[in-house]
Amino acid sequence: MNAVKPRLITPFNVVAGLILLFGGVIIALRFTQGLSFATNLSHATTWGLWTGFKLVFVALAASGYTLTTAVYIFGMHEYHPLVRPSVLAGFIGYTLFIFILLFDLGRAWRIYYPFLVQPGPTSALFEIALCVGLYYTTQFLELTPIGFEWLGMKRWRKVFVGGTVGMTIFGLVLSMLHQSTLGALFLTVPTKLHPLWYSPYIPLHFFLSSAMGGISMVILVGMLSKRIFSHKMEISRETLDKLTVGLAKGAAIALAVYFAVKLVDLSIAGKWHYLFTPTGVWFLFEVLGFVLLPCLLFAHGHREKKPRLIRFTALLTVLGIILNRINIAIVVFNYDLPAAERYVPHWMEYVVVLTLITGGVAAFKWIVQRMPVLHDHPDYKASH
Amino acid sequence: MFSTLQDFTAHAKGTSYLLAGLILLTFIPFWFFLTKKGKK
Repeated sequence: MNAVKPRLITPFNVVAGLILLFGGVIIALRFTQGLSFATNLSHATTWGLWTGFKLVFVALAASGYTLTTAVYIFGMHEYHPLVRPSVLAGFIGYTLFIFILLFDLGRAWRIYYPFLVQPGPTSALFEIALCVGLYYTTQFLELTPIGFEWLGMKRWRKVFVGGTVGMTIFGLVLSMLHQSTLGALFLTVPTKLHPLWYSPYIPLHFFLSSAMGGISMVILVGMLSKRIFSHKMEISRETLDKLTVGLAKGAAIALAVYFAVKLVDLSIAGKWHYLFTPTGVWFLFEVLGFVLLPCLLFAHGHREKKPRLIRFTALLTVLGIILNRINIAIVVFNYDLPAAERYVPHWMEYVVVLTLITGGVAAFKWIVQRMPVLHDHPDYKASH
Repeated sequence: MFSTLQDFTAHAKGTSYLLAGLILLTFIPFWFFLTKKGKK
């Protein structure tokens, strides 16, 4: 299984290398010339594309906590083959979040300030910094058995595998805290965010949508792993299809709950009249096209056992999460400003996002090709 | 902000209360559909 040695010169490596090289130059320019050179951010708009993608990366990195909770807390051990790729995808998602945060901070070298110099325990940002820092560490510890198996360090592997359930519970608590608090950040801008997206319950919206995004990411990671690394993945196509059909049930329920909460929120705050405006049509496009439709498609796919439909729906849901977070961070943020004063991302901001995503995919590929992520290490088959 | 169900029933507008109830009822056929119990 591991006999195939990865080639260095492949179309993916060449394209990824060029993107990383060009993106590296842009990132160097951002640090040498400042934020005003590489971004269109201003004192009026301090949160832009990078903030939007911070929210996207964290929401989609929920693949880790959703699946570990299902397997280790709810005992759904049939999904165990997907745990490692899902946690790895989540870990890489948080790594991208940390990188883009460093690029977005005016003084990135003061990243440790919230912990050591000026802790502000009443601030939402402090809670996010603390939870993300702790959860990132937890995910790293959850992944260490992969590295120890790869390095042949059996004793250390045993120590860390023993803490799996504890780390899962800790990770779930931290995820519930910071996924919702990322939404709570927008409680500070009730007049800047469009009323259709603003809600006193926005922390709940963020947490629920992260759960459905996480399950969808598990489905997509499983599919892509099987398609690209089929020689590495031990479970058969039939088994993967069966797991995909099972995951669709959870995704359908998560989407239905999220849709219901959004609907009741419209009613409580009396926002119905906003639906009959151009922005309202955009809101309906997001909620009906990327929440209600995927919910029904997941339910149909689960009931009729259609894994291909479920995979397409998972992609639709992930696109919906991206649309939602970008809407909140950019499109309907500062919605009442004149068009000339509205923020439009600089092209370098797009390049940095593309560079990070490329780096994340390359890192996932590098790890999967070398370490026992998609298959059991021969020495530990019995213990999985 | 509503912290409890009692807060919600006491302070939510009548239409919101009805809507929430209808949504809860809709979940029953949705659950049957999802779990195949309604399939012949």
